Amino acid sequence: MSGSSYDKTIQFRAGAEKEAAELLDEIHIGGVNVSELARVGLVEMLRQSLDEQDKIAVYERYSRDEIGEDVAHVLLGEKLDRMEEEKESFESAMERDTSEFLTGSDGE
Amino acid sequence: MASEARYPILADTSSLIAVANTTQWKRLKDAIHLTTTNVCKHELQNHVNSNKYPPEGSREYYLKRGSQRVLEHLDEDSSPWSCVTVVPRPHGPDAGEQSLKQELSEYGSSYQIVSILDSAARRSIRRLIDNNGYDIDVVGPPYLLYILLDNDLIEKPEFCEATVRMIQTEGWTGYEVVKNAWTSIPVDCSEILDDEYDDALPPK
Repeated sequence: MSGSSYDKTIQFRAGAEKEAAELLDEIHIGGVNVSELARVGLVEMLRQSLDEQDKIAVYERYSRDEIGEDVAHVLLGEKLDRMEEEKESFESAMERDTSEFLTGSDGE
Repeated sequence: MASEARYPILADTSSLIAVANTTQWKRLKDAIHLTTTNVCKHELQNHVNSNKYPPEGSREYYLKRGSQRVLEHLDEDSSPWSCVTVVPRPHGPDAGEQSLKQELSEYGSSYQIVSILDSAARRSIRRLIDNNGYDIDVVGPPYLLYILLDNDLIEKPEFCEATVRMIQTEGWTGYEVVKNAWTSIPVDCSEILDDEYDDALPPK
């Protein structure tokens, strides 16, 4: 987006880290996918950096459609899947004809 | 004595205790048909027997009181609740959950709803249902209160209060658990309930 000060490419000065990655690529049989390694590592570090309050803030923003599911999933992982599963299950149960579950007496 | 009929709702021990401790218990117990297992009934009896005089307000107190209420209801002659016998009888700390799994493996097509309190157990039972291709929804006990609301047997404030009481009595704290309890419930209870209930409403 023009005017944004934030470059969408994540960049950092890789000194010893870059050398270490190159070394591993050289000595590991079959090499290593450094980009994949960096992506997975970034997700792990992002999740580790989140405290409980951050998680709540992320989920609330996601609930208000302020952030997308893919972003929320990066930060919340399985926790988000589990909450979605509960939501879907309850909503599906709500669509049933609940009058079928009644005895015909309301206990009064 | 409860019959061995199979009604569309199957509920576990903890789920039954949770609704038995709500303000809507009296209405709920006679208004809906429900099925549980002999193993869950045995767990209820254990809760009653193992806690002689639990202090009022303690977790043990609610376990005992809820279990007593459910057992009395199951033992009524014309109880709208049923209790099915599961063989072979599972043992151990998760015997109730196992008995639901056994019952579903054999008679899954009889059920539409499984109400179970523990979220990990719900996930596990959902996998079993998926593998068997049954059309069953696995939900927490607030759904049983929702049935009353959906059929105009209780009003919105009553539903909200009973759900909040359930969350408080069950000691559900922590964001994920409280949020899960409220997720997708079609009622915004925050507009009805005041600050007294803050700990049981979805965190802001």
